Amino acid sequence: MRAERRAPRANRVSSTVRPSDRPPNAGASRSSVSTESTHFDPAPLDASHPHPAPARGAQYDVLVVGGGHAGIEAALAAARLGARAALVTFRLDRIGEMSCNPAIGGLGKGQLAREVDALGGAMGTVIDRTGIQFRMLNTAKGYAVQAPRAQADRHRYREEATAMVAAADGVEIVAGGAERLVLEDDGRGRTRVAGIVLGDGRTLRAGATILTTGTFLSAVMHTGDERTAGGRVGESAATGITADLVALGLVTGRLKTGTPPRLASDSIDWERLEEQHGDALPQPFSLRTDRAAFPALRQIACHLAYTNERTHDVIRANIHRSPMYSGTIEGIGPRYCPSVEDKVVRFADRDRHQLFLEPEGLETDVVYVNGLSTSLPAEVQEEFVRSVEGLERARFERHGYAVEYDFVQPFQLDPTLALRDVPGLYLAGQINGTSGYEEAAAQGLVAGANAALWTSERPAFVLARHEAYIGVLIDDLTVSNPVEPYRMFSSRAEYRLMLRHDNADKRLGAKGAAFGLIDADTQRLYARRASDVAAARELLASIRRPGDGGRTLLERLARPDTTFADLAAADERVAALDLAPDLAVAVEADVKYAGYVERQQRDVERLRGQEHTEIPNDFDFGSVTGLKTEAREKLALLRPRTLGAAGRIAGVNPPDVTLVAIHLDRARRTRASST
Amino acid sequence: MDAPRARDGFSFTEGSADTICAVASPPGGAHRAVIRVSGPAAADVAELLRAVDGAAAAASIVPSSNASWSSATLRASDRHAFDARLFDGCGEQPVLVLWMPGPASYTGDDVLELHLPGAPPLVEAALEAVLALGVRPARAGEFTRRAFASGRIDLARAEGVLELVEARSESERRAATSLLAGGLSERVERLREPLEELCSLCEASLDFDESETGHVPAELIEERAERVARALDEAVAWERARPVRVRSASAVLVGPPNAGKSSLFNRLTSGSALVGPLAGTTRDALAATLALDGLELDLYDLPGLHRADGDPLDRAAQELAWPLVEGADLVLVVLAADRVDQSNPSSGDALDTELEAVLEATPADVPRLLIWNRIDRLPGGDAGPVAPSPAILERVRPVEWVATAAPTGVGLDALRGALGRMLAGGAEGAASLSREVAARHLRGLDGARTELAAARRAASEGWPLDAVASTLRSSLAALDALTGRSSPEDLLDRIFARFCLGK
Repeated sequence: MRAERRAPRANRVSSTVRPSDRPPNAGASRSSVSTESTHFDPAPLDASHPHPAPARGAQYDVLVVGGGHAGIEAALAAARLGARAALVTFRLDRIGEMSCNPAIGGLGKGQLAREVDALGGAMGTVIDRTGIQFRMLNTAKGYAVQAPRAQADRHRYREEATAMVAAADGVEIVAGGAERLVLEDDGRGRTRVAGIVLGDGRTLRAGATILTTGTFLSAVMHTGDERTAGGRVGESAATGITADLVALGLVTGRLKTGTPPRLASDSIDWERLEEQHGDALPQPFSLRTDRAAFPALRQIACHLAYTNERTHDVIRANIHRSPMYSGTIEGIGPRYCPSVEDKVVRFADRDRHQLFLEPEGLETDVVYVNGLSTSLPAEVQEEFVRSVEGLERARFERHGYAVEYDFVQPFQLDPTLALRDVPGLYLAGQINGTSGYEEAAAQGLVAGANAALWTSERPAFVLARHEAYIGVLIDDLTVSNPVEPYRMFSSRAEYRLMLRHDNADKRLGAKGAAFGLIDADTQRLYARRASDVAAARELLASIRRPGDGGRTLLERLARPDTTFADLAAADERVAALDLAPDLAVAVEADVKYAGYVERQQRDVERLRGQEHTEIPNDFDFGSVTGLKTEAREKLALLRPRTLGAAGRIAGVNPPDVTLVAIHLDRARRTRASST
Repeated sequence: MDAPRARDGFSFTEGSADTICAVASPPGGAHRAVIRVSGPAAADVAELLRAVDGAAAAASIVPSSNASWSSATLRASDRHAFDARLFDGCGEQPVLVLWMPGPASYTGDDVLELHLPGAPPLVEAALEAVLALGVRPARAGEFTRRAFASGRIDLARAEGVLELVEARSESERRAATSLLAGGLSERVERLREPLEELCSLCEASLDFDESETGHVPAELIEERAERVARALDEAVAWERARPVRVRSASAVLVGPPNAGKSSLFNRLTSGSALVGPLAGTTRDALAATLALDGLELDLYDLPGLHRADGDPLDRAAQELAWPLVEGADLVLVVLAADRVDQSNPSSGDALDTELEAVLEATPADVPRLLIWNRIDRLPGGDAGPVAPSPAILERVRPVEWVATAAPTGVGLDALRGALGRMLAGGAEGAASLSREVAARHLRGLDGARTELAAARRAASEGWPLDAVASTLRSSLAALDALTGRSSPEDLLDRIFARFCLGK
């Protein structure tokens, strides 16, 4: 099907391409632009689960522990696939709590949120209904790295998420704390998880159990030298589960994350701070959101403030009181979202750092100070915050604090997010060492879908790295032992130019439909969008303007300096298309990046064999002679699922991968000849 | 025309559907050289080589009157040999063209072989012509991997070959570090550093737009890019200007002053037209090429090596000398038999200290030959007892030793014989290997340069940074293909180390 496109060029060998031969700045150097838009080769639809399906007839098919962003998507995805699901949470009124920053999206994360939405997830819909500022970030730097971000009304977000779960067919909400896992022999010599025991003694039994317990495992909060058990202010920690996980032989680690102070709105001198508004024409996250009713809430401005030398002096003078620096905290904090202590120490040459003052809602007085994450003692926080211009009179609603928590080393996961060695148990979200609502939601969706598919004996739902950021996220996790919370960055996605927020429906629609994750209405919506795009491309390809070297408008659009709006302004037939702004962006990006995307697709093609060669779960890396010691240790620890994943492990080099391949082949032949 | 995938879709190395080529000749000054092309496009290569306009290409092939072919006729035919003539711009040579269609060939692919006279410039020109068609240079051991993947050889043999590949990559590394003004891989590393820095600047800008620190001015990127581009230009020019003569094995003469290195060098190289001062040295560092039983040996005489605290001129000479020593295939340790205190070799005198410095300076894994020189000065002349003491042998740990007297020519034939033996054993295939290495390096550097130029052009034409960055990454990947690294995580580490990133 794609063979024609790779037909040999005149006088060139077709199967390889030299660097100088590739279209360097694709669009401009192409003599013609295809009217066909980019094609995606999906990963196969018949991926397998790591364990044989459980016997049916448990109380629930899928039991989700935790009502955060992972838990919500897990329960809803399972229900969409027809599973009988239950969601267990400490508090019924805390489903969809935004524990840290009241915002969805951002760079790398906005693409994830779009993908979750394209697969029928809840996150996009909820933020569209509860957002109070919408912005498209990074538009100047290209179509692939731009991403939507929205500020949420924290309370409404939670209410909306709770309502959505409550209204979902097939999801039962159970109030309670998970105390223990129900462990039993699976009849094949393994211990399997068959449900949970609640704090009040009730036992809930399920075919598959998904833990989405966030930062609550053995969590400790730090503010200066004050320490409190718990994963979020006012909520207790889950400790019994950690012990069960350790008893199952799982390797855990400890991580740290922090949150900044919250200030009272009426104590801030707003007029002395720089305003930051949302976009004039806000775009919803979800393709299913009705544009006529969007945005649903009044839109507000955020404000910018700056630390100064005095702020830094106060922090430096008290640095020894920060639990991170005094050594009280064992977990390692993230480098990308550093505490203000970290920023001041590590970047001593900077005389100021930017702060964003973000209201937490329309009816609340609480303001989130983005950029000021800290675990210094309360009185020190007050002193340095009040050294910032505009915050001199600041009143604290809550002080910043750091949280230390256990996570399960994610290399023990299968790409379905089931544990490779524990039947019946799935993990999603921060428990896997990730950070962020979007990363959590993406994992929740994958775990929920696969738990439902597994219990009903259907093939697994796995996305490849060239299909989605979700695929990148999970592939990275399954071969990593993170030393800091894993956050998505666009630079993690080698096929970034293909994985844009504007084409999430095109990339994932077919697969979502094949698995039953999106309903018929949504499929029709995607089909309509696709046909609008195709019609626009066709029209542009049919119009040649005099005096433009005989170029079509489509070819014109392939140049970097021409936008769809330019064409619409110059030609009324184009204007008459009345293409929606987000589709105009999709057309532009498709046409302009076609050459680059083609090149990335060649890379996908080139690596296909390696990506699809699976390494059995029980493969003995110790038996591979000739491996370098570092490679052997890492392979044995991380147990990559495919040769492709093996090659992505730092310290495993191409000759090592080749050796593994040879031994795999031997193992396969031996099996073949012995049967 | 997709590649026939090796055995039911199983394929374990990237690019296994590529068409690849390399020199596959026996080592040293073989009379015949073989250029092997393997892959789905082998027949196209045959046709295009034939069709190429001789004036523009490095080489072209004209079939003899009774033999002709096209890609279609080849594909339809069995194993076949054709007589032809190869034009390389200077003249023409007879060439035998072998066509071996898959799956019955060694690799299981379609295989085309050109058998031609073993003259290095000719082989180089033919290889260049094939590569210019877009064929990828084969990685070490790649033919064997294909042979294994297609079931042509068994596992034990494949493993044996892979072990060899590992061994070869060591000698390849050495080959890469040896040429004239220092190691190529070091130069690649020096180029890589600023290029990776440039990539990380762009990535930081792309991934951290919101915070002020994520802003990287376009001028800064262009300024850095320009600097890297200049360095790459220089590297490519350097590589191109290098004599077409491919690398032969190399040996360095080391030893304390007055051990007689220079007179040995003169005796060994007398009559050689290629003796001359080593580029860049202001003192008497010399290079020459010896012909030994069909193998070529680059011989370096490097005085000043042992003087760690010499004057600036010495230091300059040393900087040039170190890579040569590290990249050498053989180290020739020259000691003056009459000046080493045989009864007490560790007496701690000045000579001993110098010997120690010389030995420390030479890598332990490179084979050593001990030249026990100036035996004519021993009491009793060269008729007396000449063997070095066990204590000396224990310290130098040579593979062999020979006794010589440069002024009289005693022992020089034995020395040549020992060099020939050690070369044949230790540096097997160095000559053909280095042809591949040189072609690969030039291609890697040139690829990196082309990609970087494309990135800069795209930036100047107004392409967004994410598109520019992807081309920059390709540039980095081209360099990494030379050193075997890959690194999205490297990039992130670098970003976090250099930039304060909020939000």
